[in-house]
Amino acid sequence: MKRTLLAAVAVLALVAAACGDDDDESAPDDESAAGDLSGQSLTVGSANFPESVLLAEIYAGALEAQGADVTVEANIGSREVYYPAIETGEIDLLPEYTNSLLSFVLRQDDPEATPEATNVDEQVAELEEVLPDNLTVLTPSSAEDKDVIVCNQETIDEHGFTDLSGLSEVSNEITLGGPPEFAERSPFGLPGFQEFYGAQFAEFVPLEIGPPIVDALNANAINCGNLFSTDAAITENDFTALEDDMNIVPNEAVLPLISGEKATPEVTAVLDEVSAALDTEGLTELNFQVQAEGLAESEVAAQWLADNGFTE
Amino acid sequence: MDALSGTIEWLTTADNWWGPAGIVQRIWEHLQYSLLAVGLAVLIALPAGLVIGHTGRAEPGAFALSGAARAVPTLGLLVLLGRWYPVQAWPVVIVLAVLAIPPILANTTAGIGGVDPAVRDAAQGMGMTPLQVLTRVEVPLAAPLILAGIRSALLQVIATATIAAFAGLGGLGRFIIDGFAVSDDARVYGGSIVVAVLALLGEGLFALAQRSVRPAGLRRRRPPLLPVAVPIPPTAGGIST
Repeated sequence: MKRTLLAAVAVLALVAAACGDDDDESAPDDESAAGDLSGQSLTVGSANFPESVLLAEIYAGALEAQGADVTVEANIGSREVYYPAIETGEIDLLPEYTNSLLSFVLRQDDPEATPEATNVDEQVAELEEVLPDNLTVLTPSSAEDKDVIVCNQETIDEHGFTDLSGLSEVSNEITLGGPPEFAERSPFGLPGFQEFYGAQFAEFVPLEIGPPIVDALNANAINCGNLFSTDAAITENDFTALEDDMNIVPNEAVLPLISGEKATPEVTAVLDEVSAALDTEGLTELNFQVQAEGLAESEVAAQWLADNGFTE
Repeated sequence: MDALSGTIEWLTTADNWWGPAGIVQRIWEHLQYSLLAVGLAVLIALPAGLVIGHTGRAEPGAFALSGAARAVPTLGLLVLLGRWYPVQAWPVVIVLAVLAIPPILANTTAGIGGVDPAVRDAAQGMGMTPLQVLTRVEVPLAAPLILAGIRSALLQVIATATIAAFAGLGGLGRFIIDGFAVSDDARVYGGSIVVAVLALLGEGLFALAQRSVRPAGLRRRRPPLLPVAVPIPPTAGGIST
């Protein structure tokens, strides 16, 4: 059903694009303020979680402001669902994350495969190698949504560390919360912390990422815990995210995944500008507005676009 | 790996039994939550059941309450309490006690309330005070049913105490939740088997204890292998024979 709908949308978009081209030929572009992309049409999709919807709305809004004809297909589903849609051209553009996307694409051929690349540049290079010919990724932003260790204010006040090396020095006084698998995985897990940071925590409390860890941090039942770096709860509760100074967590930079034929120099330029303006802190703040303040993703995206000069 | 052989291997590996996260330690934690919960439930439900059964007042209310309390979603209540008091043992003990109260309350009420009125009259006729009637006549006669209620509660609580792991605590539920998180099926099955065996062992020990407190007049019958389903108002038929 969804497929059919997407196909219909794509056909309409093509028709609209064709009309747009005609317009361009008959009446040369003279509205320079918002005319760079007139005649170009794109369908922007997103995964089924708020941050992805938000990023899709930002991409869509920025392109639309330059005159493109944009359709948004938000909340398509998990990567297993939306990736085939962009592969077949039903969707043209999606916000993605470097390590997750790379891992997924590699697993398409070999279920056991894991990425070699861990930093953003290597990840982008590897992505360009393994992505199908009709897909490409653009310049990544500095915004990252990855596993992070955060600590509550009491703990930071007491010990004053800012990175995982600092945490590890006093780890025998620290109670750490993380998902059950954290106890056993490496590098981002207790064995990895011991190997790379020499950390031996006083206690490990197995808790799910999200509200259980946030509640436990607020109650000081744990000192530090595993959350995702753009979780609104970090801002909301004044938690401090510690820097992974030994780089044991693969980067998860936000970047656009786009069908090659839609990645015209003009479109690329607009999306590069968006990526340049996004950072982790800013994205966390935007998530906060969606998750804690209950604003619509499209509303938050519109405000961000205006604040950053993409729209008036 | 074949599920059965993997599970057997997990259960027969000595390293899995010892240490701070071993099966022995988890059994100990599991029993602590369970016994505290059943103890708390006995403290609440037993006096309530004695009073209600003895006076005959509010008896339908007690049965209705017992029935309604069985519908309380244990895991839901734990998640709720856990949000306010994260990583603490007492929310776990409380939700398990809520689970344990209905069978104890219902069996005690039914046991005491079901004592043959003729027996009660006879006791009064002998000059016993109401307290003496309760402690010397009604409680001994109702003891098998009361104990059956506690036994049923214990079985249920031991089987359910795995939820402590959801609250970030220990107990045998750790093997189920952690095993699931890292796709270690052998650990999930092995942990489940240990829970089931522990619950049945507790059940068996209790059955033995139960037999020893049966009033002499009732001792000819063996206690049933499974806990008596409640409410079954007993007729104390053994007395008249």
